[in-house]
Amino acid sequence: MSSRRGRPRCEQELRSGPVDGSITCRDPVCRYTAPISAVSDDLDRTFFALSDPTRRGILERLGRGPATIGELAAPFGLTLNGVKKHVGILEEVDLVVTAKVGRARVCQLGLAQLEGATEWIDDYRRTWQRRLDRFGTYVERNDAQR
Amino acid sequence: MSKDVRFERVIDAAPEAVFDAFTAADGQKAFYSEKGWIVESHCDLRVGGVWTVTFGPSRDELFQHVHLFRVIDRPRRIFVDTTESRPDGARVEYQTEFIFKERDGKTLMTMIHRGLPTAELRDEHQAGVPDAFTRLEQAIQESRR
Repeated sequence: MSSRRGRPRCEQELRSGPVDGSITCRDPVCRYTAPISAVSDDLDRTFFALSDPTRRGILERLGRGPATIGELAAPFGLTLNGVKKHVGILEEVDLVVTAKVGRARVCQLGLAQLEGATEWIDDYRRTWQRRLDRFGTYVERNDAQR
Repeated sequence: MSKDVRFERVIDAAPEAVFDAFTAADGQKAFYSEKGWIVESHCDLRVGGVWTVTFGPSRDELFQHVHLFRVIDRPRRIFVDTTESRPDGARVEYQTEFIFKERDGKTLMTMIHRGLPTAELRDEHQAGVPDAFTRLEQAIQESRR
């Protein structure tokens, strides 16, 4: 299976920071921290890749199992080149991985980036919910003192 | 699935008290204060006025939210346009709605984010495509089925 680009092996263990979205390796020996801008770039590309309905349709189809470029093209009424372009964008952010099998190129889901984006959203949700909870506690404490 | 990103909290106080606390300096600081963080809040509470909050763990790592008041309806609702600036220079724009609703003598405070976290999707949003989060979550769920 092809991969987007070379990365440190331990990067699979990186996790998002709670506030600024930076990522740090969980491995205490590695201690690698990716620049915030690099993380943002990855997320930007992931969100962009997901913003297109055809690409979401391709992901949905691949969620049911691997498919060749030709098998992906038919239900969307796209040319092979059109599908290749969409798959290329999804492959850029590791949402899809492809491999040459005989004369066909087989596509399947690659979830690493999607999990990164999910983690970013979870952190975002936790940060804002914490703000609301903290404010609620502050009001209740002050209101009780009146 | 909701179109917006929604947060809720029942607060044991009347809507007027919650609204007034949220529009006062101490309440706004409570909203943003992580333990040991710097929080500076300046609020011009009027439609067209700006509430600026600078916050972060140190002077070298400060975030800023600039909320432009669009609707102030005491004690029911506040609607703002929010611009978030991050230490790396990135900026994100979205809308935030705060709703204060009486529920059994308490207040259900709801915070709704309408907006997009990336420049590409913000541009798309302006062209009429709603809510990146909904689309992302939908894609995640669909891809995991």
